[in-house]
Amino acid sequence: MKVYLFKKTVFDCKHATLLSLKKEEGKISIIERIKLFYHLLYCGYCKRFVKQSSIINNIGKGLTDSIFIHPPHTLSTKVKEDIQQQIDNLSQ
Amino acid sequence: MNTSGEFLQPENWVKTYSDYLYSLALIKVNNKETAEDLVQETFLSAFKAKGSFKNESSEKTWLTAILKNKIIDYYRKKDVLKDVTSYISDTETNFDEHFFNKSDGHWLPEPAPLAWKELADAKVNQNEFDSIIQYCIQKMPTKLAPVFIAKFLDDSDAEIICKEFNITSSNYWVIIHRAKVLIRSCLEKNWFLT
Repeated sequence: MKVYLFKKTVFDCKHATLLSLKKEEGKISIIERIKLFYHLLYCGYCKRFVKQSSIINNIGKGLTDSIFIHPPHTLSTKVKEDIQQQIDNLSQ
Repeated sequence: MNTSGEFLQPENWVKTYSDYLYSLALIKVNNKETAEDLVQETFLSAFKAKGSFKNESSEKTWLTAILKNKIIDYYRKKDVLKDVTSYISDTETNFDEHFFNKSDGHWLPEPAPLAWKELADAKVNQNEFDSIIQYCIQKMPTKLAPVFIAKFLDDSDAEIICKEFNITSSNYWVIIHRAKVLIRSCLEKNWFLT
């Protein structure tokens, strides 16, 4: 029974991918860490998931800067003028 | 421009930051009028609070933080994560069946992660890549997106996010997990394989 339960949770990719996200944030327990370790020994898909997840995190970290350099959306001139006007009013 | 430290230059704010803040707000709230209002409120609050600006952060970081707080207030007012616990349990089977084998929890053959092409193109076509990311965020279910964005864009700590959205840590992990599985799959389909 014990072996069965161990297999059941260790072989489950849904569970393993969730654990890998906990690990990314340093919020994983020792038992969870061991389960994840065993899972990743044999599961190439989840190994890929872990690698790609970290690529995605890095993309996210750079996104704010990249939006600053090339804002994908533009505020209309009218709204900009309105806001500028209100700031000017406050400055007086 | 002072090179040794940053000054606040409210007369240049609209010119320098409005498209940036607007784009950030639009990604987070997915509604043009709301995003416009948030940017306006950000500038006006910032102007009124300019006495509290400390030179240790940049003007840009400071304005970004003010916008972020406005967006959290907006999420709260709109109660975006209302009934999130029942949402999670109601949609669990549907989500699982899409990605994982029902009996053993393995990846299903079709959505299982594939090897990605080199990242090099992402740098070359940054604009195109950014718009794919935004498309993938936009496609995300509305109950998942706010929490995921808070992690993805702002890299906030899990505990802070749970407090901001008033969710349990187990809901946090389910949301982050589903969102990550979805965005990975969306990016793979629309970028890393094409």
